[in-house]
Amino acid sequence: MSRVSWEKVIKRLSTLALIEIDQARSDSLSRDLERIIEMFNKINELGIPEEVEPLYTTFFGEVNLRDDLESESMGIRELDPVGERLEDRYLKSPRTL
Amino acid sequence: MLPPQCTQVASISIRTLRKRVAEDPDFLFSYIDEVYSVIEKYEHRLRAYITLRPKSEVVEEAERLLKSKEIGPLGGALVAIKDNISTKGIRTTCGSKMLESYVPPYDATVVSKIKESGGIIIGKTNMDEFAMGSTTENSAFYPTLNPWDYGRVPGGSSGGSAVAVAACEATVALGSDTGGSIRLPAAYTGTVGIKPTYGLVSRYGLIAYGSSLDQIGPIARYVEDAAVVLDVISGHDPRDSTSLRVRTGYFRDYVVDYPLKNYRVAVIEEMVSEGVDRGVMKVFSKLLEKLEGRGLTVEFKRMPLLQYSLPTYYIIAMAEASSNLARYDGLKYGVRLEVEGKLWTDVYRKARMLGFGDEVKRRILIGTYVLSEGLYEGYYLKAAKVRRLLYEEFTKLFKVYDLAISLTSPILPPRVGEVISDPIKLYSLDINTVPINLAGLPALSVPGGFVEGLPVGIQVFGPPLSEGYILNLARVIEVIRDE
Repeated sequence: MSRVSWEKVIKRLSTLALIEIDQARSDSLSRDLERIIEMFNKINELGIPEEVEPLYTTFFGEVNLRDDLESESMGIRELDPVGERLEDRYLKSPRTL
Repeated sequence: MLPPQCTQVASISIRTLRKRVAEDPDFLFSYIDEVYSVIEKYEHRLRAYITLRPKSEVVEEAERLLKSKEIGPLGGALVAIKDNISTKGIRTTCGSKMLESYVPPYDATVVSKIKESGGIIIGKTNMDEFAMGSTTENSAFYPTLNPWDYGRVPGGSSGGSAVAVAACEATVALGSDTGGSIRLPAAYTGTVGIKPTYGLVSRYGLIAYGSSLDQIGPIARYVEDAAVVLDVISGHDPRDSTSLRVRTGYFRDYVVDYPLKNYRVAVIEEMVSEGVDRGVMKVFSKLLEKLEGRGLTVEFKRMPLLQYSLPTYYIIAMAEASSNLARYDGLKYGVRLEVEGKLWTDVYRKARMLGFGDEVKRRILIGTYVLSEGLYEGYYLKAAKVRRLLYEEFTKLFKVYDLAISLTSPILPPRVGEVISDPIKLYSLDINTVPINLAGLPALSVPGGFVEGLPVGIQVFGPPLSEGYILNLARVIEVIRDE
């Protein structure tokens, strides 16, 4: 696929994935995607018999689904009782070292 | 051998900590002092933590612990938690601007278990954004450096956890492993890291990257400490639908200095041939000789299918990531923008552009590509079929062999900036670790020796739920490597 075509693909993917990509980033992404997809194409060298079942998970136990119970979540007051970390309705994150 | 940041007190094992605290409860405060003084001295260079809890809070918790009846199996150990594991009331950023101010209202199951077992959370560790990376340079905040050489990366994505443990800024840590994210940093920092069997440890509260591949596991300085933590965090959890109903809590019993049986061990040629650093290979060969000297049978085995594991893994992981990360839209979580009079799609697109870093965007876009109409069959479906073939190959292998052994990484830790700009080079660091996740197997990385003052990680892996034997062989390696 040519570079121009990759740019078109990225435009389409950015619409589908809901991520805005600017022109400068689009150029470098085109180069990266081209190389990564080329790496992915290696699996096409492998002849896979039709009857092979795809494996989506390696979990073979009994799937346990829990009851959907309502409970109270932690409120802003509980997280920040005196309001010292509140800024424009949002909690200001703690300082990093 | 420990890196220069460690002191004698800060480097003690959980067993020694419990013993010293039982003799003199005040020792726990001296230990906390010592660890915090290491942090004060070196953290500004290493940058293992994103959020470090104030010492006063940690001391208060220690006081509460000492007043309780039992100090638990962790006995006041200072536990660092990777920043993609939810901690109630402590922000959990996932190494991303998107979650920069997210404070979870609940604890992940593993965090609850750590607390109930006498562990004290010391902080949240740096990581590649959303666990996407192998060097911890992809953090939205800052890179973490390797304690053995500040010019090198510590591996990733759980690099902060591995560095905190290696440099004695924590007793033990938790990481997560989707394609090698516990084992690779363990190898590059000279620590022990376990990726458990898929389903052995609850994923409840882990921020998802590749749900069919993710597992939480311990990182420790000693094999015994890793086993103690695995005993604490493993076991069935009704809140994780893929949690196995199996007996756990016995892993510590397997940590003995001699092989519990005359293991038949496979060395897969493809994992120790191409692109292996000469010094690294020398360490590996010497270790195999020593293992044979201990009565183990070591045999080389070919598995040509492994050459397809890297593309298979990245197709599946990126596809799952594109789906899992769809929830970050700037409304429920993440970067908040002015929404009045704007189209929802414009708000989403802008929030995701500002909130996600380059590697995350790249993986979401490629994941979207391999799942799109007309391409799904050629990429995602095909990768899922290759995954089946790989799984069957490993099943056949472990009908003959008890365990397998390889290098965790074929090379020494790369220099800072060496691989980050080339995605193919970056992804290739995971060459020996991704097949294990694809097959859902347990694996461990243990230091096997040193080359040019840098640690070399040995990967031990086996059939599902063979963690006991893996820990036993790892302990044997820990004993014989310096002989």
